[in-house]
Amino acid sequence: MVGRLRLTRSLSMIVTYAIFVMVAIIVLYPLIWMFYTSFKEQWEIFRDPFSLPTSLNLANYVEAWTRGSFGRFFFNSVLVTIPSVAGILLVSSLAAYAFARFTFRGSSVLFYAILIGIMVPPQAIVIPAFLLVARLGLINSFAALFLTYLSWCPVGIFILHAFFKSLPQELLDAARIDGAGSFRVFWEIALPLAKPALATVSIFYFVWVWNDFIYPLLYLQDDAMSTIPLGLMLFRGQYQTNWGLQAAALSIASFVPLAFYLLFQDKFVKGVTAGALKG
Amino acid sequence: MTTSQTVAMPLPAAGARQPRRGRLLAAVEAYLFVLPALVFYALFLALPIVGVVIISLLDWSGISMKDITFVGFANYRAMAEDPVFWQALWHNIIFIGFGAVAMVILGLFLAVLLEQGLRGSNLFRGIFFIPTIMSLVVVGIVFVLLLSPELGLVNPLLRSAGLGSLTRAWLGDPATALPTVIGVDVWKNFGLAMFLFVAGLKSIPQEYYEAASIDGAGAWRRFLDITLPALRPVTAVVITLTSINTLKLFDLVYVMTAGGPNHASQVLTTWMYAQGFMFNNMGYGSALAVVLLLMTFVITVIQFKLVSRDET
Repeated sequence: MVGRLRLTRSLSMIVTYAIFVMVAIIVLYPLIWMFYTSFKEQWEIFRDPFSLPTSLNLANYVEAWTRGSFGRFFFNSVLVTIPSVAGILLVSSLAAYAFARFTFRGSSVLFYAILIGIMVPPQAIVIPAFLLVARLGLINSFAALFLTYLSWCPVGIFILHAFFKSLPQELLDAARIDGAGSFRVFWEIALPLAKPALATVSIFYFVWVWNDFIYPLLYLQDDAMSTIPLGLMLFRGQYQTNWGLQAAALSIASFVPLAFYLLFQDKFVKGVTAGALKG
Repeated sequence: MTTSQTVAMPLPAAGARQPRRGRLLAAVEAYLFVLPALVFYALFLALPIVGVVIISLLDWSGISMKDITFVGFANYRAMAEDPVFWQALWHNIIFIGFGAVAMVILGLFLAVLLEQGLRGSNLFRGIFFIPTIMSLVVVGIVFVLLLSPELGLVNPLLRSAGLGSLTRAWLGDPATALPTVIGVDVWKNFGLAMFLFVAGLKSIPQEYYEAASIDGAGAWRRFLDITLPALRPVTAVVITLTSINTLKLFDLVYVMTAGGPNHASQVLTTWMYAQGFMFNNMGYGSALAVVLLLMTFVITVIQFKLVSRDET
């Protein structure tokens, strides 16, 4: 009896592992293929697109980075992402703190009005957003993206609001008695305590802004200003048959999110799922 | 979405009995904290929401303010007679019916397997989540290459398995373009559903299972009687989320097929983009966007109703 139970248990374990391995291969193979193809030369790819590269040839990377302008696209993406995420953190933590900690007329109406924004798919309002940006003369400027991304702060407000709400009041009162103003209490006490929540929020927005495609597609019409996802599309048009070069560009594009993910895996999962849940 | 109850109760402020001037000052301070977020939100999110509704009532190329004509509901009437709109809408429904549902089922299945606590589960969980953080453009291009008719992976694989008759131009064939894009989207996003289910499973008290085991319930019974009912709220959230995510999907379709061949994979977002930015039909494009907004709204309300019914 016990023997049979053990047998079914180890059998189900084997089946489980078999499923895990199979899904892992399906998930990883396209990415691994992309990565090793980036080292292959054109003739190697035509001979067999799935063989391993014969040498660790970095020529594709060098060419993608320099002649293919990928260095520039990378820099553009950094220039868009860092100020946007920092700006979102600042405005959403300020607002979340006020909604969580102050009583003021209209606070719940305002809070709900902002939360409605969480439900709106960014794709659904690209036409008016584009016309507005064009009207303001901001086409072909990173400022247009910065302003748009900052308007998507409701998710951040939502997550940080829950956090600030959970802070014990005594902690903030103590600072008040010492004579600190509201802003100093926020900046010096509440914000440092909020670091874990801020990390969650910044990762959610980092992934979204770094990977965003539709807004740069509309706002950045000058090729030299392309962010990485846009650059990939340009690249595909330009080097259609040069798979090695395309694979190098794709690998460069994936490097930052993947490296961050490997470094801060738990925070990443939390950030992406927390953001998604509210979206 | 689930915290509405906690939000409605304002905290009693520390200085509720402040003198009048102090209270005024406190209110001004509070508004100053909220102001920056509010300005960005009002200008670049709230205004466009109003804008998309207004523009949907216009005939406008978007190029100059002079060529605006108010046409009332003409764009919506045109939509009713536009076969591509119905096609795109149908494709969105297929996307939800197959793609979103596949993500939910696969996510639940893998979450349950992972939560058995086998050695190495964390590693596999970490691997399964990788596609979720990748850019849809990267994923789209990689799969376009893998599926390419001659050099790609899939066709040679089929040929070597003796299934040469199944080979085709996966993205160029109207019969397979949409299913292929849906499959890639499932590959990209099942990890998110999986993680939400993992979190839901972790929140089920272990005692429930122990009590059921003592009562002699087998694994399958325990799953049906404890796990599934306990996961109902999470499931509602995951279904909503995956449905809305597939509904608003743009990048992947744009990159892989651009809605083609011959509208075979057209969805609402790509058709809206084409109308607005390729044919300069800002009015009609906005009307399509309004449909998208309404559908999102309806799905969210249904979920809200389902979850709140559970709670009462």
